[in-house]
Amino acid sequence: MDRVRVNNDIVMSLKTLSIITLACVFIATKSVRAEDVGGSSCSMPGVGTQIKDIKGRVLTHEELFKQLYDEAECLRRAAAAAGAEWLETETLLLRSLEEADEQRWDSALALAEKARFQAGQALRQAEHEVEAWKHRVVK
Amino acid sequence: MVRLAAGCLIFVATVMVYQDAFAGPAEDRQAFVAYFESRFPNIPFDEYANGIYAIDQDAREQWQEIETFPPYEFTIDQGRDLWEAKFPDGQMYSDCFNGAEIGVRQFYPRVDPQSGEVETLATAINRCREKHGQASLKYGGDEIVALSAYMSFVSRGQPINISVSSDEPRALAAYEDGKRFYYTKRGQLNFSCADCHVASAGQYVRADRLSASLGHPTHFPVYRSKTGGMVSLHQRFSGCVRDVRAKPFALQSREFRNLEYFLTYMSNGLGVNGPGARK
Repeated sequence: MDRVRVNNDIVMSLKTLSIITLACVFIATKSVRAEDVGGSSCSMPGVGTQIKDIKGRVLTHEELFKQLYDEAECLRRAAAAAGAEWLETETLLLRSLEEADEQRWDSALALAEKARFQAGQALRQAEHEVEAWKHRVVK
Repeated sequence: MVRLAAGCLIFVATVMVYQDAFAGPAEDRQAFVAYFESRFPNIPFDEYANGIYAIDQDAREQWQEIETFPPYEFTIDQGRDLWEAKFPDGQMYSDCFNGAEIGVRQFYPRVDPQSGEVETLATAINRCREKHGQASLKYGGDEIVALSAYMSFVSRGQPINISVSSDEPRALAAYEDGKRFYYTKRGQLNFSCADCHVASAGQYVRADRLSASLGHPTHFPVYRSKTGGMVSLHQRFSGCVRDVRAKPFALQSREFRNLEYFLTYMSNGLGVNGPGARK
């Protein structure tokens, strides 16, 4: 089996995955309908310096992409359900799928990671705005 | 003792913030109008119906030239033809709007007493069609925009008169939802409607100046020189949301209808002057 040479940025950002996953699940359960978000399917195993599955097997590009894509799509749905989706996130995910179909893994992973980042930021924005908008009301 | 005092202070501050955020519609509107009167003391209230042309003198002169031969005239004609056409059952649009020959634009949006949802002029037109066995018109399409333009034209001069009844919790909820939308930052640029059209009204964004929100809904639909065609208010909402790099909601979605409800209520008292012409 090929060993995955993972881009450092992706590995580092995956370290924050558990935090964002928690945020995703939190917002999904608190602010939006759980069925729109897919429940706890946002969770992704293998957070660490090496991306391994539960048996310690290093993930292939394809497996890693699938997990990253699923995570990004889950977060995007949560952001959409909160009415806070950003403009390009869905397009990035579609492009990442096209790249994956062509087995251009570096590009596919980079696009999926960008989408995951955007969706996570959109969710953080929505969470912040639950209260923050009240301070802007003209008095 | 100090802790108790600090706790009380925080509590009072929190209550004040929440009271301001959840002030009633009448108080909101009063504060909204007062803000712009204070910001632009030389602009009379009625002028806000002219949007950016109340603020930007150069743009106003260009607009007045454009209005010599209004680019929306053909759309009004098309709307009049549609308005006067009979449905297969012999009824007309006017039968759905209390036989109105004079305008009704100033009363929309309103909360439909049956559904409790905000009904805009566009959704009312489609409801009328459905009632008479006709297919709904596509929102943002030529025909519904033309009908809206004609109905605005015959309503010119009528003061906007939107009611948010305190006896109708669904109306208040829709109003509050629209208000929350208006003040919520969204998109990659992290902007709210208010960031541009309250806090930065009159300021330049590239070569153009930002209009004040007060009076925004009075002149739609508008002919936009940028696109060379007519644009509905919801299409403009969609454009703004896209401009801050957020994914827009569908035309006539609940989010946009509630936003229109809030925004139009803020403009109560200003005269309908649609259709208009904008850059």
